[in-house]
Amino acid sequence: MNNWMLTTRSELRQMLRDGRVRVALLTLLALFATTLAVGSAQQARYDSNVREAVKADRSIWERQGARNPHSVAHFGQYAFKPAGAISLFDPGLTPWLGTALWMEAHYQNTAAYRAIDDQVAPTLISNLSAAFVLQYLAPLLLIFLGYALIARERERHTLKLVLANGASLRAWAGGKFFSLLTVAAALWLPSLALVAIADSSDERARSVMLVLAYAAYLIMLCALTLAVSAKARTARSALLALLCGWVVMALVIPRVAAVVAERAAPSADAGQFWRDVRAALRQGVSGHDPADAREKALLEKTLAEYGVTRVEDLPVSFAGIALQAGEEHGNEVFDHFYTQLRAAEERQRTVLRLASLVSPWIALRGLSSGIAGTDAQHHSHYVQAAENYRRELQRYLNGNVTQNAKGKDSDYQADALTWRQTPVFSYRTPTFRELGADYLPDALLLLAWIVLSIVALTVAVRGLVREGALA
Amino acid sequence: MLECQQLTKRFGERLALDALDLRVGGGEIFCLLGANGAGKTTTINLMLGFHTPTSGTVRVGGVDPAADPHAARALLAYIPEQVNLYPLLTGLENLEYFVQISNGRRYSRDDLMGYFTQAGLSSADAGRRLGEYSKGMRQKVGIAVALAKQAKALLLDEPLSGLDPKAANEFCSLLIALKERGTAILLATHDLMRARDIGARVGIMRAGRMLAQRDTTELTHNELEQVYLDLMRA
Repeated sequence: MNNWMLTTRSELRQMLRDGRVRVALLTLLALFATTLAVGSAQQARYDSNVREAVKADRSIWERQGARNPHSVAHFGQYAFKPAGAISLFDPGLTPWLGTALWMEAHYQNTAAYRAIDDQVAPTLISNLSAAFVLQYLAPLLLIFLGYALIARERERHTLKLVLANGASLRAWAGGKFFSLLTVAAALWLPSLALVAIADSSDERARSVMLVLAYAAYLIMLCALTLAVSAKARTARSALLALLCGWVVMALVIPRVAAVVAERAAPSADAGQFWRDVRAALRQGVSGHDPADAREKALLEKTLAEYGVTRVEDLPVSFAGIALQAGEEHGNEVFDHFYTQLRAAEERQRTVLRLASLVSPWIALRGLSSGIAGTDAQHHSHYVQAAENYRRELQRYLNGNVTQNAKGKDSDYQADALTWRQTPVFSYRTPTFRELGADYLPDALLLLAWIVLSIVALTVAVRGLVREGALA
Repeated sequence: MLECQQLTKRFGERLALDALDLRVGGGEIFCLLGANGAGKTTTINLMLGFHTPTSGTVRVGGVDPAADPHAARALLAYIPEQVNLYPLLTGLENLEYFVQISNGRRYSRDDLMGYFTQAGLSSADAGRRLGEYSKGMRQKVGIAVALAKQAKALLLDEPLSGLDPKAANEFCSLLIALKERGTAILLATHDLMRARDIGARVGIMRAGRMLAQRDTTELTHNELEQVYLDLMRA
């Protein structure tokens, strides 16, 4: 057995003999396993609810009987957001983003039914996830176990005794590092269950990426903890520095960064956003306002296209053409405002990434929710897919009016079979391969933190034997 | 085995050791006497390679500890005033760890137990956690390490401080046993009486200088005390 293995074994032996460590480790492992189990159960319930809701919504849609297509367009449908198998690990922004989107004529709505709205008083515990345990609680355990690993030995002159007996400093410090890493690995191992429960190749790839990201993060934490332990004059000052570092980097900087990001790239509040959208919509063809100047221009254009001078002479329903023109104007308006909104979100994301330079937690959170498919990028993908479907459906319904409602307009009723012939909204979460490049900066930032922490550890350990340091 | 020639160490402006000449052969106990700050611990740290000499030379079994600390330390065992080992490991586990980490060799439990008992510890103590050991017992674990790694030289820095007379006597008996095996022993201590009893020679230091070296056979306890006090007053 070489020196580092010897030291690792010795440290683990000591850790496991400390009752406080055993209790803390087992508590955290139990909490982690519980969050995975509860998350899995919640997800199964959510999936079941979505399946039932999709079925019920479609049934209602198909059983509308003979109706005017535009009335049906206003009646609308829901686009339900599916949950990926690994979203149970890191719900990310899911509770705040909504799970169903109402698709109706004229409006691109935002997703509704946010989990956070169902909570009487949202608490930390109610949003506890496996990712939260690894991101915020595991560091505390590693700090608790690691702060004294080197500092106390230097303080009590045990290190001098070890080195005076001929031990290699590198192997000794390596043994300390691997002992802490072993505890981290014990916390990390249950996350491998994600790979086992993944039910598609994409989810499997995401699971592997996710567990690798957390492995990297835990390696970084172990190295940083030991670097501080090696650098601090006393074990107590190491503990204080590490706890302060955790509070500042894990809690304060992400919060401050979010505020700075919002200031740097303000996103309109919901009320203002919708006031602006409605104002823009009113300026265009609504499909309901025959006095509208745009409708007049559309009528003139349509009559010219068909080579007639009166609406009655048109071979198609002008109402259907006007409705579709109104939709297309609306689409332009929504594209304009949602593009602005997404641009602001992207600028905020850039600011947050810059903040990752001083807090690895930001990079990890971005990477973790991204891989789990529970971040804003994945939500945008779902919203865009629902919007594409809505536009296609509106085009189909307005086309039906255009082709069949000549001379009848609002009195026209399509038969009951029409609704069954419309496609079902079927959303496929993008594969990680499709969106993976978006997360490369976060992965690189996390990698930079690992390199930095290992360099810091190496420098701090070398400092232990500088001239006179142990004398 | 241990040799210093004109060994000098400065910490900035402060002269901690001034042209020390010292030689300790195998099977010899040399006691360094002196008040705090006399340079005893600096001498030991130079031999361990934790300091680099400002000038002069230091050799451990012919090895320069500043140039090759690992080779020098392989020949040495070191026992400080406070032997702070790992309180959650048993005495035997501490012995196993410190011996294996020093030379990478694996020892059987029987071998380790043999060294443990040779150091004056009982086999019943072997399975007890070190946190339950007295200071004297922890010092004996240090001796067991020296025995197990078959150290050629033993450096002790105030090991007798805080030991009760019985424990100090037992510890001195162990040092004599090690000496008889051929180990060179350098003992820094304030205890003039025991230095006279177990040392072949004593060296009296003050402010980094070796003021006198005497054979203990030439001096009674009282004479040693008088020489010491005279040199301290001068």
